[in-house]
Amino acid sequence: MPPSSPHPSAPSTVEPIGDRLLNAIGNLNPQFLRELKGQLKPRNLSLALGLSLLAQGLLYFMFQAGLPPTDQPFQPTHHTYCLTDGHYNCLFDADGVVKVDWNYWGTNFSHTLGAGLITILVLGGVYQLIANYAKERQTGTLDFLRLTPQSGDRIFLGKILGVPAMVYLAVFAALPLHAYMTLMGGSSLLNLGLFYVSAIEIAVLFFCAAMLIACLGTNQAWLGVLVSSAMLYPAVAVLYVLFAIPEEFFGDLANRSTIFLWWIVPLSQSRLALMSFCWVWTGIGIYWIWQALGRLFRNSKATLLSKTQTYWLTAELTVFWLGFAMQPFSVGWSDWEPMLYFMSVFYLTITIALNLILMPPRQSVQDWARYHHVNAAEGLSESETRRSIWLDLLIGEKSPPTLAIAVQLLATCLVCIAWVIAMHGYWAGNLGWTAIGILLVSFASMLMLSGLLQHILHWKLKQRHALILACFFALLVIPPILLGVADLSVKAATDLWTLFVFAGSTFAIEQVTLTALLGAFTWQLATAGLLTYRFKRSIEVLGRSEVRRLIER
Amino acid sequence: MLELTDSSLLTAAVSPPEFAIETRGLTKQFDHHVAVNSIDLKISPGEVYGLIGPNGAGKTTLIRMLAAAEEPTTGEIYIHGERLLRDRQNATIKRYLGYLPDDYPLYEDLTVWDYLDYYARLYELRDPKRTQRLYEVLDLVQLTYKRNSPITELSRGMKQRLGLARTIVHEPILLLLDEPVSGLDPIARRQFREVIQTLQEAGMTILISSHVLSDLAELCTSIGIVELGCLVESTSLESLYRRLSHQQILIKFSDGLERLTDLLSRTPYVEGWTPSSDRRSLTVDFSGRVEDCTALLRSIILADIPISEFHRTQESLEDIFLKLGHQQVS
Repeated sequence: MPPSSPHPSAPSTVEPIGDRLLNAIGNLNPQFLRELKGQLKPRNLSLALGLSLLAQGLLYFMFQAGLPPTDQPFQPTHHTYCLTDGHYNCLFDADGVVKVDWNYWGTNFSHTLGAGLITILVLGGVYQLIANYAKERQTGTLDFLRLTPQSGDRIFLGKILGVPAMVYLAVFAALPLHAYMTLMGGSSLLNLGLFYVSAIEIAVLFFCAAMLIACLGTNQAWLGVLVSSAMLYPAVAVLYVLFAIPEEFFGDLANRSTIFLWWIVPLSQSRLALMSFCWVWTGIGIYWIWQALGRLFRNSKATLLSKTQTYWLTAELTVFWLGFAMQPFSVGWSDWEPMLYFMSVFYLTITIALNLILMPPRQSVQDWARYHHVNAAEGLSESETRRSIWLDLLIGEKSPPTLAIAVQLLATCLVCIAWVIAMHGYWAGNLGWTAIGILLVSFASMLMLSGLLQHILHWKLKQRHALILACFFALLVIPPILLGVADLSVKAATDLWTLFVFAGSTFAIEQVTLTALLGAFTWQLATAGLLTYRFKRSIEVLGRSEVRRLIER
Repeated sequence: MLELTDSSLLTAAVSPPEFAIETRGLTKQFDHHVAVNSIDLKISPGEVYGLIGPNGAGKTTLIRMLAAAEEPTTGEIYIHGERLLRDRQNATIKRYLGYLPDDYPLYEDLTVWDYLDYYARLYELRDPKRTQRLYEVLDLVQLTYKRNSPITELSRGMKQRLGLARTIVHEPILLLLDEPVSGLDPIARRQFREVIQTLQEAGMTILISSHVLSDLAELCTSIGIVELGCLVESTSLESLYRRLSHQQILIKFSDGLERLTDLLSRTPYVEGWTPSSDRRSLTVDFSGRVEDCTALLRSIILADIPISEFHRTQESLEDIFLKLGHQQVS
């Protein structure tokens, strides 16, 4: 609000918080202040606090109602919340009143409240962030933010801090009750602190993902909430499992036959070590989404990540699974079959993700095809070297991602083969070589699917993503179903499974023949080559000048 | 073609910032439609440059590219000698620029003051300068009395002026205004024009696109005509009038037609005349400047010819625009 002198000031709606504090916040992050000014209205404040207290009260009365009755004629002999004698019979005090297990009651209350708070925090925040961003984009105010010298980092940080301010307030108002119930349940405040650190990280991950979804053009906040609900459930489940692991699991590493290691990091050393591992990898996930957000803020037509960034991302993901796979378990080869299948599916997912991340919009590909020779020369002022087309395909911003993805698939395929060789002691007979053959076939399939995906993404179709889903369903889901319906099991018809089902031979490693592997590898690689050639031709046609187009007519 | 680009890049590295805006081969293509076609635009500091052209000619796309709101397909943009690169933060160039598009989205949940304060902070203005600047721009756009009002309560003209205040709050040195007076009533248009004139006097370089050519004729020092994505004309307004505007002088008199025609035949820049049917007035085709016109009037008076009216008329910017073969002004 304007200062009082020399002009009269406005009636204040946020006076109690303090102008100086708001001014300091505004200097640190103008976007945060702007969101606060939009939110900090007496009506919003009282609504957030009122709803929070009401929900807490309802939850308290609900749990209160779940306690065993203490009136003499109705006292139970069995009840969830009574102290028992070891045979599930309730204990009674000297007055004949049932003894309540307040620890268990408090723990349940605390867990329910905690889960409720995360849900409200994440879903409420996701809804508000997507709705806010969509509104800014629709009204056009977002373009003005892009024109200011502020970085995307500060704008997004301000939005994440400020847009769900009322949700934060509602959650904050429930903290005293949560702390009280945690203590009543016999748990420490340190555990509560660990819970909140994890909850905040999960919320930040969801908020960043919500902003990314909004940046990609989603206006439907409820859709974000729906997707988040589906994703949040497993995330909260993992969080509760982390807290539910009994203390006996941790510590005493020397006397274990199996130790839960990641590379050389003993994750089973302590709960904190295991949680830190989860925090670090969630943090890495947040980092990459943040990078994508920054790029989209600078240029809404940019790819989510640059090609160079995806090399690092793929390397990181490879390091992640290798950390678990390079373990000296004393197990036979048969345990490695699921690992082969996991690797194939893992890298198939990465292949699909890389295509979606790296495929520039059709207009950008057209501009690249038409003008890349000019723009490569213009890049001289930045790099002082003329960029070759090969280098442009490997690291260029607008170039098609074909080569970059192929290089990444080749590199990861080599890593997987190296892993099979490194684990040679666990493969019986020649099965190591068969495993390498299976991996080569899987990576040829990925190359083929990648080519198909690029074709579809390049088409001028509104329903591209539906078509992608249909194609992947036809290629990946229908063949195993058809073979299953025809009663042709993997062991009985290994050749058919090898030829037509993605990673179909991983569960018949002993039966698979070299001919089938060679056949599958050849047809898939040939199809990948054909698709790449067609894709190249279509880009050449797209990039033709108008003059050439007229002449060719 | 590459060699040409190479040499232009070499010159770019050493060229002093003699232009507020300089573009080289600036092109924007949407699918197969070339919206802006290899435009080389040069605007000197302090100029008020009017951009005119039919709808769909590429004016808005050109301005959006200059404002870093749109990525060029190819070509280079220099703002005060600094290269604008799309994938960079361009923080310095963004401080130079103020951009007002034809639609002016505002935050309806904020007051006038909070809205401007927010943008001042985004441009990293600190108190006490920020508060002082806010009062300055509010005063300039005549909205001081509305500073505590919610934006929803403002009229269209006020919102337009608030948009302009937002555009200049960080003291840019280059203003890009796209159709700033479209949809405004005559009073609001005049108020807006006065603000632009004040900014011009303050030395700001202004690029303004408008279909209201009378406004441009009043404001601009130079004019660029865009058609089918090409910059077909880029010159000073004076030069444009001199080259393309037909000038006439109407002289009414009570007596002395012969003496007057004799005088006119000896006067430079007089290309011909047409007497009226009553032989009491002449329409003179004249190609001289204002000073030459004054000299002619003086010589008529010195020749003691009894004139009752001496009126100089010139074809307007709109006439010139239409004469050049452009059928559509708006």
